[in-house]
Amino acid sequence: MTFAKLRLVTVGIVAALGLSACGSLNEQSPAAGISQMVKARLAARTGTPPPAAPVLTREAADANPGAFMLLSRAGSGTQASLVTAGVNGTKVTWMSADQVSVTLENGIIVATRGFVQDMMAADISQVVNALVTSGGTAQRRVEYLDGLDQISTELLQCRIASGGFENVEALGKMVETERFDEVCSSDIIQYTNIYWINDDGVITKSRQLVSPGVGYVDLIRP
Amino acid sequence: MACSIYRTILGNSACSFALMLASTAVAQDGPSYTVFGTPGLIEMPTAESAEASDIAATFAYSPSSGYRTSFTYQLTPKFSGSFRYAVFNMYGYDVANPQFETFDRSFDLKYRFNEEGTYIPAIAVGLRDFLGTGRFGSEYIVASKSVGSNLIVTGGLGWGRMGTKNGFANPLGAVSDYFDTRPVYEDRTQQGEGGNGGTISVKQFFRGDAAVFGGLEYQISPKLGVKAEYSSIAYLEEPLTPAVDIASPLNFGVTYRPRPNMELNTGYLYGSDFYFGITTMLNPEKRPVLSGLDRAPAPLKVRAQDALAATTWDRNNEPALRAALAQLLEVEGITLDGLEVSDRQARVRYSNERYRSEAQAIGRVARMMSQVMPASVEIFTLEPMLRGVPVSATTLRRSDLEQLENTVGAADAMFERARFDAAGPDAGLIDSPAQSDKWQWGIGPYIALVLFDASGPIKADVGLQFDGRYELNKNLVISGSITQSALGKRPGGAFFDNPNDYVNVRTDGAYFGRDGTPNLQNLTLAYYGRVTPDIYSRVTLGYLEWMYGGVSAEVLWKPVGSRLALGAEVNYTAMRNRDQGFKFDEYDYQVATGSLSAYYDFGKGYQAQMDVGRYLAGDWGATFALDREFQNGWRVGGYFTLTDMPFDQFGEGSFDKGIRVTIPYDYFIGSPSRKDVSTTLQSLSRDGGARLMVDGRLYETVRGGQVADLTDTWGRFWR
Repeated sequence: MTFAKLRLVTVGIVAALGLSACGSLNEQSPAAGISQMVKARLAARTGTPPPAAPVLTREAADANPGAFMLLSRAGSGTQASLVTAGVNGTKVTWMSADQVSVTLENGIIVATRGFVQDMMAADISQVVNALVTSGGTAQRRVEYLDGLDQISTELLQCRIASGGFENVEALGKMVETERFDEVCSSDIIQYTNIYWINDDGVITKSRQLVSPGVGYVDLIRP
Repeated sequence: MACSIYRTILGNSACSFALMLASTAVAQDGPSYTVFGTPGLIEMPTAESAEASDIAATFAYSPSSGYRTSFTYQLTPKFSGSFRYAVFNMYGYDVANPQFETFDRSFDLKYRFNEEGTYIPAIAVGLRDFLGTGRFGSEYIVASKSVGSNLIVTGGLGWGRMGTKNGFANPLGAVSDYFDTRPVYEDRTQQGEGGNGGTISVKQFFRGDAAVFGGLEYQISPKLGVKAEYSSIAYLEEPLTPAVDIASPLNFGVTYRPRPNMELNTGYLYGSDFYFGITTMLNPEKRPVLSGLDRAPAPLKVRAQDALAATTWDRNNEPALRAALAQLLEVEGITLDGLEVSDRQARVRYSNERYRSEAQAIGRVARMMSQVMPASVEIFTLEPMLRGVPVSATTLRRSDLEQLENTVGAADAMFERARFDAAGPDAGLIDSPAQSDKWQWGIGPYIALVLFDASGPIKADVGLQFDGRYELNKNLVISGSITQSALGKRPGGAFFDNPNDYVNVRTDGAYFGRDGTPNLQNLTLAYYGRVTPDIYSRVTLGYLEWMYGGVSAEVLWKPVGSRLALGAEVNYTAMRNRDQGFKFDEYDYQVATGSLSAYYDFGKGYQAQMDVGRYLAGDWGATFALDREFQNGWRVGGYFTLTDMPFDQFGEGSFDKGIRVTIPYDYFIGSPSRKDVSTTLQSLSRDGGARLMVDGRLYETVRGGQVADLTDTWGRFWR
């Protein structure tokens, strides 16, 4: 091959590769990352649904009581099914197939992993006490991982109050619950978590804040 | 920006949330930018500062003042520095004659004394174009005060070029008559006329006539603002300074911020010209992807209560245990290199190929160990390897991991309870069979900026790059890189003449790799080792870089917890042929270079380095460097090199100096990556103080796994 041809081929290959790069040495290339990000962005813009995850059925949930948890971005229809990946004392870590995890203590989020802004840990013991006594005030201490890889701690004052009885749907089944609203605020943020608690005192459904950067997620125990 | 990124990844709820958080901020995010790329009015400065750590890149154009590209870095909340590169023709010569185009580099500094009070304005002092040829050389004191929430009023006093419109006798003359007259800047002459620029014009500072300037900035909406100024730069014809026929000292501008990190500027200058500017801002502290897009780790596997009593385990399971751990670590992109397990302790050696933060890798390895280690094993010792050399040993108690997981304060508590030592001996470790491929390769496009070749001051080169890497063993690696430019054969040659008595060790770079054939960028055999627990060694042999081949050897003393490191390097190299093939016969230039180096980590993100030794042209001298390092991997720093090569031999710029920036990939792409991209803005790459560019010097290799760097990113331990 003459060098003139080689040059033409090079031009062609550069054009064809576009932003992408290949080979084991290029696995972490920004080009690959950027193309992923652009794809995600386009998908969001055109409303193309993300690839469908295996759907959890009522039958599967009934056959394995307590084995599953449904996670979705608040307000979005796409649900991920989570299964237990680890238990440490009263804290249970639930993980999805695409490796997003949520750690719950008595049904309340105390940590997340794999979100764009993770809750690294939370002390929610006072919130649990307030829920047990059907309302009251609580202090919440929450840690996030910031853009400089440092842990930032937020101290929040929260007020928990009953919102009355509501029937909620959990994977095709209607469940009678009492709704509790937890209004938390600090100097810079304010948000409201909602818990729907069934007769057995289990949080059947909840809407909880992961972090300011992520927003709320919905959790359902089918 | 934050809003749009949140929207794609997290849905709209997060967007509104982010807006709510931002509601405490003022009408606009930070000050607007001048055509000089600094916070201010249109041409004149204000006392405003950008947010700490902001980096702003500005491109501005107007017919009279040409093209300017500027970078301003807000080093501290009060102190900022700017680097500017401009192409212009403002001498009143025939504009059509490109002979009179000027390529001008300049530096600014600005310090703000105070925060604005209820009655007291913010006050700042600054130097514009204080280094180099000083064509815009000015000093100023400026005060800015906001009136209400949308209006900022600025007034100031300028010297130098800023003292030329309606100038009056210097008020500092009251202090001393030293200030009454401003001496001519002797160095402001072109190459060949006796001056080289690049030296500081201290003799001129705050001397000669002063003049008053001022202006108004009004923010109509969070995105849209207007400004007007009275400029004190007259652009008179002076020797080798830009001259403009000014019709009016009043300049007017409009600013528009389509996004929080982008500003568009336009307006009317000098009563005759329209100008245009665009500024983009980036803050290393504000990672667009917040904590990153890493997938969740496997949670810790907590031992059952009844298993805690165990004090031994069945050693027959050792091979299965090793295989299981290797498999688990592979999930994390980590290679198991060696394992030693006793009844109560486990020591693992591994290479992390995925995570920028070795602290995060330690956290992940520890959790994977908890999945498979027998219950009796209480002590985990983790030894990360970098380029095949173990650089530290972090010892954790398994019961601490179990107790602290997902609790508030877990990162700090774990750090306090961890022990950091030098990596242990090789003895005792059972080698794990290599998991990753010994042979790795990559093909991808590349883009490079070519500065000052014969065809112009700046040009982009694009093409394909082939990389290959073969591991003979953990310590011995062959690697190489070949590029093929899509531009084909191009004429070589430098933009400037380089008349000096030395070999053109770098300035002839403009002749290299121009014949359109594949270019061998490097091809080396590299050995890394550990001489004692605290002393590391490297030998690299082959085509070390694009212009030189030979041998490079280095030793480094770097105890695991020490802020100080000392190193020595010797190289014997020959200059390669211009076709970047295998031969060395074109120049027949061999040189022995080397340096003694000291590195010091001041903490709080400041890192200093000093090298004393011999450079490529055979000149002797020293390089001083200071870098600001952010915990998330960003670095912004500067360096200068002084050698025994006389300034007039060095040529324009007088001595080598530059600004360098390193950006980790994961800052932008979010997913974990060990890679980063570095760039150096040199005032000019010349032959004095030129250093061999050998890949993988020891200090940068070793430190990543040692205490200081682990501390920086320890927040990722539990991620």
